[in-house]
Amino acid sequence: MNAVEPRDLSLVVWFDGDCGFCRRVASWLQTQETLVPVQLVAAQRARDAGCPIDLASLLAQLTVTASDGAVYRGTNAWIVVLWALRSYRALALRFATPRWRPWAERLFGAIAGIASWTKRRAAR
Amino acid sequence: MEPTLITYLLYVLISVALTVWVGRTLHKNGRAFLIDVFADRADLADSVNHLLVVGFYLVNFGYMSLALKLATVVTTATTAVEALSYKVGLVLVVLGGMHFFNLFVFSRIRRHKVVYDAPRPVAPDMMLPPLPAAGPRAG
Repeated sequence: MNAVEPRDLSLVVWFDGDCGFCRRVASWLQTQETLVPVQLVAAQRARDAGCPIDLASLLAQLTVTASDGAVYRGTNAWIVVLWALRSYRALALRFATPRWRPWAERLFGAIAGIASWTKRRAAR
Repeated sequence: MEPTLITYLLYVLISVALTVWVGRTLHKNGRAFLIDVFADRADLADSVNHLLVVGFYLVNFGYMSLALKLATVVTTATTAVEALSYKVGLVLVVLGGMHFFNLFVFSRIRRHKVVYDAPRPVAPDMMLPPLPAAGPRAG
């Protein structure tokens, strides 16, 4: 760990447990080596887990909460998750730069699109 | 002494002096870089620095001695200067290449650490009171 971040920092990723694609991404995340503890919890369990954010807004956008109270949504959430992974921290730092940020928005927007599309398809 | 031997001796003298000069520069200035990387371990920084410089000397002296033999026969002072200049030029180019390679290694080591130590690169969208840890099982 480093001096800037709290020593006991950990992240919780609230993914959509009703979406197969999201579960697949979540299980991939679990295979990755992390620099910061990352916990994956289905958004549907958020209330039981003591998360004060309501389910609808958790499902609207990928949400990551940090143990220090910070909440990240959408592209920010994706970048923070990548930052927590050893192999992807460099990529996260790049995505956060003004030059790459628009591409990150597009990429994670597209991934969110895939997620909601597969969910709608499954619901039919 | 025959002119070829004098040329060889001059070549060895100049090349060794140049190599030692570049090696010492590297050793002296690389240390600051490495101390920054191995923050609390000056002994480790010195060790890595030393190992890098040893490799640098090995490659350069190795090249120097491989490249010693002259292809032409040196008879006059003019041809001696030409031959010497050509050989020393090659040594300089190799030294320059090695030097930049070492700089590349240093900067890579450093960049690696900068990435590893980087704090979260984005600002939070909102702040909550610190959350209790969620359940131990992923949903």
